[in-house]
Amino acid sequence: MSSEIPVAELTDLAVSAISAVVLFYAAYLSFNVRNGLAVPLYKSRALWLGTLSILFGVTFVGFNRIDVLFPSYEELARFLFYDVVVLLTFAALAVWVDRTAGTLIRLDYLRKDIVCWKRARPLYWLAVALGLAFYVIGTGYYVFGIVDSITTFSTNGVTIVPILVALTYAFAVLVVGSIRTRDLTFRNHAKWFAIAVVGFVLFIVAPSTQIVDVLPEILFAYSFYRMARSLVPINKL
Amino acid sequence: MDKLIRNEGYPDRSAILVIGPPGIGKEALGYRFAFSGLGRGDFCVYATTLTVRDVLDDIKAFGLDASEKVPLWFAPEGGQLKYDINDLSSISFNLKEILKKNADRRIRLVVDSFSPFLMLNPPETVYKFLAQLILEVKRYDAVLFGTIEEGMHSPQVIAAMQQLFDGVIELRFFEDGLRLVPLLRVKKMRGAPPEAGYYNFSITRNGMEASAYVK
Repeated sequence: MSSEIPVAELTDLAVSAISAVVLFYAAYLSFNVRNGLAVPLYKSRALWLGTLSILFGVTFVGFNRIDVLFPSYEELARFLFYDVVVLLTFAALAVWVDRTAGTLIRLDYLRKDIVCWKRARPLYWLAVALGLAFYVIGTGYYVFGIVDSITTFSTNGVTIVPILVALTYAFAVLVVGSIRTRDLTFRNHAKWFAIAVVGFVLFIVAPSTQIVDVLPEILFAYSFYRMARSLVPINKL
Repeated sequence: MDKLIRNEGYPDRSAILVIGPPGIGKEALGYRFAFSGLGRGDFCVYATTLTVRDVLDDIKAFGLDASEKVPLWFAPEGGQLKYDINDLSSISFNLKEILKKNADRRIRLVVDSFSPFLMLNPPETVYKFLAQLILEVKRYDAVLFGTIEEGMHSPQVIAAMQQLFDGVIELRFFEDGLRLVPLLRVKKMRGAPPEAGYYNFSITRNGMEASAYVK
C-alpha cells in the first residue's frame, strides 16, 4: 500500500496518528482521575473529557485519512463515518462547552454572567444546530454525487459561518470565564479548553493541502492533554 | 483513618484540616466524622455551602443512614441556621452561640469547605476568623473538622491555613510513571510524631480503607 501513497499524505497520516496518541493518553489520564475520585459530580467531568478525547482521536485519524487507509472504502460507509462520528464529536464538543460555561459562571468571583451566556445560550445552540445541519447536507451531497466535492458546499464561506460563530462565542466565554474565576485549577482547565477551541476552528478553516492543516491538529490534541492534566492538581512524589 | 492517627482518632479539642482536590473524598471523611459522632451521642454541626438536600443525596451515596439522626444543619437552604459565606461575622457569632449552648456535651463541628471563604474574602480576614473560631473550639470539648480545595488557592494561602490547624491530612493525586494515584498523608497531627509515609486509600460505602503505599 505504501508505494501507492504520496509522501505528503503519509506525513499527514503520521501527524494524525501522533495527535491521536496524545488524545488517547489524555483519555487515559482522565479515566485515571475518574477512578481516583469519590464524588459523582467530578467523576462525570473526567468521564466526559476521556470520552471526548477518544472520539477526537478516532475522528482525527479517520476524518482526512480514510481515503489513505481505505482507498476502496464504500461510499455509504464513508458517509456513515463522516455523519455519525464527526457529528457526534462536534455535538459532544458543543455540549462540553455548554457545561463548562455553566460551571465558569458559578465560579465567577462575583457570580456574574459577564458574557451573557444565559441569554445567548439558545442562539449558541441554534448556531450549533445550523452548523451540524449544513455539515450533514454537505456530506450527503458529496457522497451521493450531487456536488462533486464536500469543500464546494461546506467551505464556500456561508455554511461554516454558524459553526464559526458558535465556536468564537464559546472561545470568548471560556477566556472571560477563565480570567474571572478564582479557582486556579479550573482557570487552567478553561484556558486550555479555549486553546483547544482555537485549534478546532483552525482545523475547520485551514486549507487541507498545506502544512498549516496539521498544526491545528497537534495544537488541539496537546490542549486536550493539558486539559486532562488540569482536571485536578497533580503532584510529584 | 483512626488507625492512621495515633490509633485513637483525632485529638480532643483540636482543629483538623483536610486538603485535596474537588471530588477526591474530603466530604466523605466529613460525613463519616459527623455521623460517627452522632452514633456516640455527640452534638454535631454541619456547615456547608450546598443545600441540605444536596448534602443528604451525597450522604446516601456514601452509604450513610440519615433517616434517624442528623446533625444541626448550617446551610444556605434547608438548614436550621442560614449560612451566608459573605457574612463571616454572622457565621462566627452563630458558631460561638452553638458551642456555648452545648458546652456540657462533646461537639463535632464540620465545615465544608473553607475555600469559598477564601474566594470571597481577603485571606487575612479568613485567617483572623479561623484563629478566633479555633480558640473557641478549644475552650469547649469540641473538634473542628474543615476542608479546603487543593488547586484553588496559592501555596502561601495553603501554608498559612495549615499553620492554623492542629492536624493536616492531605488527599492528593500523585504521578507514578504514566499512572495517577490518589494518596493520603497525615502531614501533621498534634500529639503524634510527623509521618512521612503515603497511603493508598479508597472510599467505599463501608468507609475508608487505607494501606501503605509502596512504589
